[in-house]
Amino acid sequence: MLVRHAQARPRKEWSGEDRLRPLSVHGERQAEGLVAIAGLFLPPTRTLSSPYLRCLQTMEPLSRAHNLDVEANDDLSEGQSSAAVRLIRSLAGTSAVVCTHGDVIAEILVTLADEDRVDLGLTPRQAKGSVWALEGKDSFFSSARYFPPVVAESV
Amino acid sequence: MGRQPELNGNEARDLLALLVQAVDKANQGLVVCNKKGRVVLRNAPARELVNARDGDFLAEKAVEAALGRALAGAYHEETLDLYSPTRHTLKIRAYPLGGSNPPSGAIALVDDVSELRRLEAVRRDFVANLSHELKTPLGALSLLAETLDGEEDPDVVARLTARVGAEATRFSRIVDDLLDLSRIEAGATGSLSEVALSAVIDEAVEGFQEPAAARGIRLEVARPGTVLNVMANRRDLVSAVANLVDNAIKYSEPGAAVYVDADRRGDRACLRVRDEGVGIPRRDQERIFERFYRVDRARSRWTGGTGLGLAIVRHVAAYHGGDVSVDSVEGEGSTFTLWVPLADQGHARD
Repeated sequence: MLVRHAQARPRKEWSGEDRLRPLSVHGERQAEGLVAIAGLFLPPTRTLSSPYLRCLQTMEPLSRAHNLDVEANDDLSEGQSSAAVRLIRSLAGTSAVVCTHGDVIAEILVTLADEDRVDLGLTPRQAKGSVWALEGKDSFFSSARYFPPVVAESV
Repeated sequence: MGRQPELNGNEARDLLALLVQAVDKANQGLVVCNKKGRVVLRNAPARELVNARDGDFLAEKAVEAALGRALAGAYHEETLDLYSPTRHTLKIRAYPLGGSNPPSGAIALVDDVSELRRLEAVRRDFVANLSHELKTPLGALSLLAETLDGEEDPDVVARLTARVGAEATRFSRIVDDLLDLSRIEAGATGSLSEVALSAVIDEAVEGFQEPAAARGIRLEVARPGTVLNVMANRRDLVSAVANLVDNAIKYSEPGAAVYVDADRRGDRACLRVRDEGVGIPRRDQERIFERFYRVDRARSRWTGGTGLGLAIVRHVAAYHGGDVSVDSVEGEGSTFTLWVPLADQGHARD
C-alpha cells in the first residue's frame, strides 16, 4: 500500500519548519480512515514513512491498530525519486504500508507505468490520504489500484 | 454469360487440360470432389498446402471433412492452426457445386493465412503499446496536477512544474515520431534527390557536439575521403543519422567516444555510427527496430527515448532502397550501419 499523507495544516498558518507541520483535524480523520482501507488487504507487516511529521502522523492510527512501529525512512522524503522507487521495489510482494508525499508518489507510479507497464488508467488520482494498492513480486509490479481517502466520523 | 459452344472430344480434352493448368496458377489452394466425395482435382497450391508437408495429415482430413459438409448442401468455413513442420494457419472454405439438392460436387478453397495472422497480431500489439505509451505521460500529468493543487512552497511548485513540462514534452515527442513514422509508412516521402553524404553527416551531428561534450563523451566524425552522393530525401536521411548518433551518445558512459564515418562499398554508401557503450544483448538485436521495443525500460525512461527512433531509421533506410543493421557486444559497444544506394557518380554538389 502506497499512501499519500493526509491533509496537513496550511503552510501559511505554520511558522515552524515544514518537516514538522502537523496534520489538520480533517487530516487526522483521514489517517483514522486508513485503518478501514487497510482492512481490505492482508494485515500490514511493516509501516514505513517519510520522516516528515505529516506522514508519520498519517501512519500513526494504522501502526497502532497493528501494533507496529513506524519506520521513518529518508528515501521517502519530499523530492526523492530513484531512491524511493528502489525502496518500493524492495517491498514488492510484501504487505508493507508506505506513506510519502505527492511528488514522490507521482514519481513511483510513473516509473512503474514506464518500466513495469503497470496500468494506472487514463486519469490517475492521488488525493491526500488516498492509497494505491500495488501488487507484485520480486522487485516487479504488475498492477496498481486506487482507493480514495476515507474520512473517519470522529477521532 | 453466353452458352459455351458444343465441344467435340478433343476440344473438351484440350479445354480441360487448359483449365487444370490455369487453376494451378491460382495462389489459393483449390480441391474439387465429385458427388461421391472423391477428389477429382487438386491444384498446385493445394498440393503444397495440404499434401506436401509432413504432419499435414490434419490439413488433409480437415479439407475432406469440409468437402463432406459442402456435399451435404451447406457452405462450410474453418480456420486450422497447425504446428508441424512449422507453425502455420490455414483457412478452409467449402461450397457445394451445381445446385444444393443434391450437389453434383463440392469445392474447397484453402488459404495460408499465417502472414495475415502475424500482421494482425503486430497491429494489435502496436495499438496496445501505443495506448500505453500515450497514457503514461497523460497519467503523469494528471498525478502532477493533483500534487500541485494547493501546493504553496515555491521550490516544490518549481520542481513539479518542471516535471509537468518534461511529461508534456515526452507526449509531444511521441506524437511527432508517430506522425513521422506514419508519413514514411504511407509513402508520403517526396522525391529523392542527389545529396552529398558528408553534408548529411554534418547536419546530423551538428546539434550533438555540445550535449556529448557536456556528458564527457567525445564525438569523432570522419567525413568520407571521396565524394559520396546518394539519392535521398535529405530531411529524412539527416533525421535517421541523427537518431543513430543520439542513441550512441545516450547509451555511452562519460569518457567514452562515439565515432561516425562513411565509405563506399560497391554501389552503396555505408555509414557507421559506433559507440563504446553498454551494448545490446544478442536476443534483443533482432527486435530493436520494432516500434516501442526497448532493451532497458529503466534506461529508456531516463534518456527520454520514445521507442520509435530505430523504427524510423529502418523505414527511412528501406524507402531509400537501403538497409540498417547492428553489430553489438554487450559491455563493449554497438555499431549501427546504414546502407544507402549511391547516386550515379556524377559531380559532387557538396
